[in-house]
Amino acid sequence: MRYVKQPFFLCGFLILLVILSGSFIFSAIKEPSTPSKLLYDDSGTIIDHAPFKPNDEYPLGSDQDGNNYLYVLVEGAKYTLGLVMLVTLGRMLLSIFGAFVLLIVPKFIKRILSQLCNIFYFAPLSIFAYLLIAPVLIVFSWSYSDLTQFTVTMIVLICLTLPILSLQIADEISILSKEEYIQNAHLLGGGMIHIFYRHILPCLSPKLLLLTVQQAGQTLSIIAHLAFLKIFIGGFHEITYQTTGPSNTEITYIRTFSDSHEWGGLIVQNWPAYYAAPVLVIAPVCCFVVCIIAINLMVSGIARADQHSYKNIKRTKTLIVPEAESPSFVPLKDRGVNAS
Amino acid sequence: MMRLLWKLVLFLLLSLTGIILFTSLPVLIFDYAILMNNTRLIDTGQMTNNSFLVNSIVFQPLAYWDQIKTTVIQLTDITNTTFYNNGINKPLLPMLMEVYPQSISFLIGGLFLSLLFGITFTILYMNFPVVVKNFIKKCILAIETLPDVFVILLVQLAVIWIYKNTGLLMFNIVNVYKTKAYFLPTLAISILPTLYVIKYLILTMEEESTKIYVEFAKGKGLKKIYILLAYLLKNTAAQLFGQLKNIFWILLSNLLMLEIIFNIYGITRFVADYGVENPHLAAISLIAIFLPFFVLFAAGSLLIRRLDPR
Repeated sequence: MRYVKQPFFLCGFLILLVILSGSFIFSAIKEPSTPSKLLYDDSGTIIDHAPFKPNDEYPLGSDQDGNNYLYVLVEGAKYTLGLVMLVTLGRMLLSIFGAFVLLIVPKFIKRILSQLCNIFYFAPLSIFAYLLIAPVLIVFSWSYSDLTQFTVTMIVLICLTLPILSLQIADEISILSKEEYIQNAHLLGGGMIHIFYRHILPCLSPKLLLLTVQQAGQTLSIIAHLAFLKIFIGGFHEITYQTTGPSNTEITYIRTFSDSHEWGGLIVQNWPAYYAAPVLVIAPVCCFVVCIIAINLMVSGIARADQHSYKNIKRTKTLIVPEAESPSFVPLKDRGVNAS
Repeated sequence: MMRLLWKLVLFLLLSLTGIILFTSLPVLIFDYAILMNNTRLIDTGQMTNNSFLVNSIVFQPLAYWDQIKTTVIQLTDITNTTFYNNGINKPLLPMLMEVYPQSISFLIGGLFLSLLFGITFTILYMNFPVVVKNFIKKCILAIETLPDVFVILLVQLAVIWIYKNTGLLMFNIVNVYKTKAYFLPTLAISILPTLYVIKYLILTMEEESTKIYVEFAKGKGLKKIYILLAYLLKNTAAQLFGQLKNIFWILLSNLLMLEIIFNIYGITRFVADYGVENPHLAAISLIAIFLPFFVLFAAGSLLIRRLDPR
């Protein structure tokens, strides 16, 4: 609970909360409206056609159908953040489980796994995600149903950092279990599960919180990257246009639209129009940036609160303080690729 | 020395294995034999309606093993390797050689630029008064939280904005036919790694400068700049080298965004375009990205070992 008092953490948390609740409240009170592709002024003359330029009524302009872009973004917030929360939760739960598996299996497996995980340094994480998601979503998308597409995407996003995360948590647990009081608890007859709940989890939970927040930030940036690689996460539909080009040749072109107005999807959808109406791409990117900054604020808030409490212990207790920081206090961010 | 060499060889082998194992993964969960067959039929125009095709997630360890074998064979016989695209098999090497040098020049250029800027700035920083130091530290922390997508978009927009307002086009902004953008991409790619280098160097240098030998050098009357260059920089260099992997990783993820936003057809986009249909292509490209890093890393660790035999 001490994190709530930390201004940095609180600030980041409030930003996310406002965005998320704003999105839910907005879609609850929203009135259905039919967008018009033309914009009239008071006297009824046409002054603009979609996508509109930013003005008083449309603070961020509009998309190609004439929808107010600000509303579209607000609507998309809950899908994006919801997705991020789902992925992060899945990652944390599975990786705690994975950490236990790693602690049980022989040591050399863990060492080989950590060596194999080095490959995640030699290409962007989003490329690895892309190689596994693109078969269902882009290249062979004709043979998979919507449900399969969504499940595969989620499973890939969840499992991508699972090995690294499990290794980190396993390391933390094995460091903690070398502490004297846990060894004593073993001697006094505490079972595995009892020791985990009573002794390891309380010490582990600040670190798990930090990891969770970091993973959330990383998931957000992966989703942003995937958007630039033309992956729609929140579902999509294709519309085929037919127009007559110069000298009466018939031109057909296909454009894909995001179903859920999820921010990543908005970036992909509007990428062809980037040079014509840059705000359509830059606005969702800025939304990502705001969320990532909020998450990073939370991370530094957690780090500061932990540092602070460590200092307090040093000051109040006249015990012999350890000279070097024990390995469990080395910030996790410096260790793995999960730093966003 | 032998132990270090053995370690490096092990690192190389395990990384190569990891790349091959990962890039073959799609074959394990998707039914590639049928999918590729259908793709071929669609691309060559023998099948026009694909709405009846249904497939689901499968688990095929045997196909996975076969794919691993194929990848290794293709890798050993790289001059004859082909890849499938749009109904025909094309030779891989000419295509790869077209996209590879450019991306690698951005990567290496970005690496050196960020080290150069980072070290120069840190040396300047150590001579600043404390108030300025604290201010700079906060600034770096604030900028560093920005994601790479945003930074690269911002650089491009800034150049466009300057051009619109002053009519001065400093660099080519995007790759259009024949005119290539070189300097701006390298600069854009090196912003975030530079910040990382600065942050890390400041941390280690300040830690190092509290040590006794620095105080002794000060007491001897050596100039501050001499102490910085001759002692501090040399003693933090090895630690900075340990961060090479992280710096490289930041550079790579910047490279991906750079290639998309600046419309540069480089290796990461090559992988994204063809790597899904050809898992062996993805493996070969990722190994091609890995190798220069490995050479740098191996040379650096051997050099450090030679200079400092501890």
